[in-house]
Amino acid sequence: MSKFPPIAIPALRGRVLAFAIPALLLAVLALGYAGLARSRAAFEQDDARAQRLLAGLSAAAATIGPDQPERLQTMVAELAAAGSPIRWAWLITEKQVGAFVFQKARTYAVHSDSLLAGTQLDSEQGRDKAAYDISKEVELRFEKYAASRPDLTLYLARTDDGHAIDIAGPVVQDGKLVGTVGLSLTDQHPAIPLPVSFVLLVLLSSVALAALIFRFVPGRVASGVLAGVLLLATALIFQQGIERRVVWEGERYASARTLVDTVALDLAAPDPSFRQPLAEALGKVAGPGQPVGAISGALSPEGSSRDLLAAAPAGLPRPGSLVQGVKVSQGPAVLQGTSAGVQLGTRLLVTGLLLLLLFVLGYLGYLQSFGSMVKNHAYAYGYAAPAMIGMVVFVFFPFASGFLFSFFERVTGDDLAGTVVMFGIPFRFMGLRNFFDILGSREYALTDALNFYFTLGVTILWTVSNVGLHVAIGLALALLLKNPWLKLKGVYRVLLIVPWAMPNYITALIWRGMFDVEYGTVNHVLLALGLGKVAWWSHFWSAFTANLTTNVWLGFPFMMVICLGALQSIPGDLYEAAEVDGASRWQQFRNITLPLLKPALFPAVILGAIWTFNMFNVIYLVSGGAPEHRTDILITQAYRFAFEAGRYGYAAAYAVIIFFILLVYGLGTNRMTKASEGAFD
Amino acid sequence: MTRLCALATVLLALAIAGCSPATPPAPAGDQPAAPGSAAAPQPGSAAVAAPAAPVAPAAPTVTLPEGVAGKVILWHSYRAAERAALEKVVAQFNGAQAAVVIEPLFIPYDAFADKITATIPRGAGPDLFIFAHDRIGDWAQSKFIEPIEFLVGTDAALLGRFFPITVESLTFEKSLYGLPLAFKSVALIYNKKMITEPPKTTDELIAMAKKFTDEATKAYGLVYENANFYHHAAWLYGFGGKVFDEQGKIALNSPEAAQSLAFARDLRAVHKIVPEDVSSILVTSLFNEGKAAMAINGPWFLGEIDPKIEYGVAVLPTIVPANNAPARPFLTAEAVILSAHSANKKAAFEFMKFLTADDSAKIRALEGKMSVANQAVYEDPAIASDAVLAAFRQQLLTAVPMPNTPAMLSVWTPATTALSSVIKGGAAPEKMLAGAVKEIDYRLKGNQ
Repeated sequence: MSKFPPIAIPALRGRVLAFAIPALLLAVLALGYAGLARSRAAFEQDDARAQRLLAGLSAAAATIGPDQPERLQTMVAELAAAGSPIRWAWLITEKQVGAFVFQKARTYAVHSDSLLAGTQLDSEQGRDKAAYDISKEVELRFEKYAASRPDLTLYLARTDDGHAIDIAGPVVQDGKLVGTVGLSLTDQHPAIPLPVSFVLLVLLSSVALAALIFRFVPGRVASGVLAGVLLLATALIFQQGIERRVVWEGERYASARTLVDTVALDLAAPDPSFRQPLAEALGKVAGPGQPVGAISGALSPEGSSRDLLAAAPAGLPRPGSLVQGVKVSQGPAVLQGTSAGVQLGTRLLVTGLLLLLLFVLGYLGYLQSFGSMVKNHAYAYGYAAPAMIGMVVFVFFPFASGFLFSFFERVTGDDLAGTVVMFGIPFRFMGLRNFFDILGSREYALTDALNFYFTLGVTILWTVSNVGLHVAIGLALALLLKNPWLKLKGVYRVLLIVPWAMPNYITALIWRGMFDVEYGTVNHVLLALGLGKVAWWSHFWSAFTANLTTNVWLGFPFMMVICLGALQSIPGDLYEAAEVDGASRWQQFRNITLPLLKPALFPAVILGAIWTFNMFNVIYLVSGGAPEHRTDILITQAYRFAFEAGRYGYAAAYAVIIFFILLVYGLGTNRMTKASEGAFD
Repeated sequence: MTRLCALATVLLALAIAGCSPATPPAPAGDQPAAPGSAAAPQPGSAAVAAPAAPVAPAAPTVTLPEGVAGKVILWHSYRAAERAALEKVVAQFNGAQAAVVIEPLFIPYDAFADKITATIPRGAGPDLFIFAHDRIGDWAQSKFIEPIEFLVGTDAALLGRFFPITVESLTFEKSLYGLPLAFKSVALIYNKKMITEPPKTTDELIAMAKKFTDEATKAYGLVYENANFYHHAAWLYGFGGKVFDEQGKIALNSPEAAQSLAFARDLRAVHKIVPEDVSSILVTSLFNEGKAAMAINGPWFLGEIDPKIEYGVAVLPTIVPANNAPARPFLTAEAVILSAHSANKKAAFEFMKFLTADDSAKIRALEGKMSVANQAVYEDPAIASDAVLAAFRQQLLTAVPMPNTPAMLSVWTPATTALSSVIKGGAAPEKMLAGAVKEIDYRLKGNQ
């Protein structure tokens, strides 16, 4: 058992260091988070912009009719002239050719090359294929989600080089899909600088302030608490400052772009539905000092965007000039609640708390004593390092990731909003849902073989009956082998250990074959004895018996070896004395053999129970859960949930629950083992 | 520590699972019948020993679009006559133009699908390969194979030359994956010594079969793998049952499906014309020993028939209890499929067109003895006179494409379990089907 080293608050320099190191880490991480927030905010804005432009285009496409791609062409040209970063856009409409639904003539329009406008898709054109594939995807999504989740009919993806967004959506007339429209935008988010000088300044002043606190505030507890508060405050300042400098900045650019896009869309195809976003965008760009009311007032239903811009206050940027950056006041464009802002806040809070812990450890001198311990025993730690790394990689990492997975569930389908990608698979955070579902029997009734308690019951039955038989048979054989008059003891011992020496999955497969209904040895023997065939896998009890037989075959040699060893160590004079006293064989067994076997047998039983509880191979290979999962135990059920049903999170929660069951069992029996250790004393 | 390690092993397994594609693992030895073996009959074994009639060498001309050139690797698992026919067509194509070179490569059938899955995503696989259509959904979802309707474009004649059902088999989510080469389905194969006129209805079949059934000498009127879901599909669809409905939902638990199970059970339990526990080996040995008058099997079976046995092939009988509806066996379409990672798709597609052209199909039909998918070929007198090809072509009219959705992979084992417990264990069909559907839903839950 390791003991905590005594508290030894270091000298002033040590205390300043204990503060400065977490503060420096905080600053470095804050800059990293700023970079992430910057790109995330930028991505969000680009995505929003792409959606806005597409919404405008498809609304226009639905009104102008899919047979007039040249009008879409005009619209795209207007947008491009106004500064929208459109690389190309297309409208695909379909006319069936031949007998097969997937054979279609398609027309499309492209802005970047007017020669191609209105032509059919051509396999010679590289981008035609891309447009075609995206169009196909949109069609499929429309079919799947038009009724239930219209938002999922939209296709949005970044191109492989990451510098462009492809977006596409359905063109709908009277609820029917008449075509698809899509466009490709160049990523155009502004290069927002990282707030390096701000972070540096805050860091330096924070460390200086901490030094002053340590120097002048009396009382080590008070100064420590103050410094801790200062560290958290630093995290808060970072969060606020970065949000202002990075996230808000991006949002102001985005507002300016909304203005450009809306004006351009309205110019291309006048549409009253563009007025409201236009007014909002103007309000955001103009800022609090500008007469927003006057702008809104100019939005009469008849007026076009051109009139509106003419009426807008002087100094307001015009489309085309906006993209290079807009001078706007600090103001209403606060990004409260955007995911970039929220994520930044959470990250800095968590980091701040962890670093606070680091500071406390340093302040109390623990880190220093840990450091000197490693230094003093450098060789020992060096030798242990490979094993420790192995443990971390092969034991703790899988353990931790399994634990993590249990709070998530794999997402299937196209609704990927709010998912986390782990190992290339999208997951959604579920909190404790998986555990509630499993422990609360929410999905499966108690009598259902997939119910947790049903499986738990089978598992306990399985474990108890197995261990009971292992001990009984093992002990009986050990007593037989101990008999002094028995010849060829060595041969018997070897033969009886053979089942244990064979890899258990091979044994399991052999038994599986022996229980075969038609060709299996077991049924042939039953037939020879005049008993009927048994369809082993069709009923719970027969399948369970087959599993049990296999595992008893596999498990008794271990118990036999343990018992043999323990029996050898019982002094013979005890039996002699008992015989002199006239004790019967049963009394000798009951009062000498059993009590003296207990210390050796008890740990073996505990171990055997854990092995049996998680005996995957036998269950999976022999009955395979037949019939209908009824003979599955918890571990095979977890495996099936993961790899047959693909529910990784649910299965991980199963594994965590199994872990806790065994943990409680282990702790409980540990106590009992300790109590029984005194037998020989 | 042991506890920790044991648990960690499980968790490690879970963690590793995260890295692998989310397809269910191939079921281990716990299933009654490997779906792969039934679902995708081995193409090579269909080769019959009869020497191929030489086809008049017509020098084909190939005109390639401008700029199409390079090497195209074609994987196939054809053997014997089928392989010779394929290689002849390849040689014709390579000889007719200089720009594109087709390199055929034989891959053993057993390893074929695994090799495709292992090599194509790494860009090391073939440009084209020949395979049955039932894996298309799976591969299309994993983006291993290329939808070709964009290459087909508005060429209505190209697709018009095939039997429409074979093109439909290759369709997944409104896209076309590959061009059909041949089709396979089971039909009624009978011993001509015993049966002169094959039965037209199941009542005739049962009556005829009873004459040849004698349990004492282990002779039976009919042998077929009755507990194998692939073979059972003929009855299932014949009765009007389905695996999936139009929306792609499992529709196996229907009164029609229950009737079909009861019908298959009664062939054994009531009429006793089918042996107990039929395996594919038993079908072959009984038929070859002359102890089976009729068998239900596919073209791959013909190569296994003892040359001494004189056999005929006929369409499956109509089902009397289903108002004389025809039996509707599963159709497997064999197709030439384009890899999504091919660097030379246009050249590959040119060869796909050539390989599936009527002239090439004629060579494959006559020399390879394949049931080719081109309609016009069957008007050729040399082929029209081949009774076996004609019978399988006739059977095509009632065949249903085997579903190609990935969900089908989750159907085989539960459906076969239900079928065999009805036939062998005498369980109630409705109950077993309900259980099978529940199991399929469980397997599909996380995968759709």
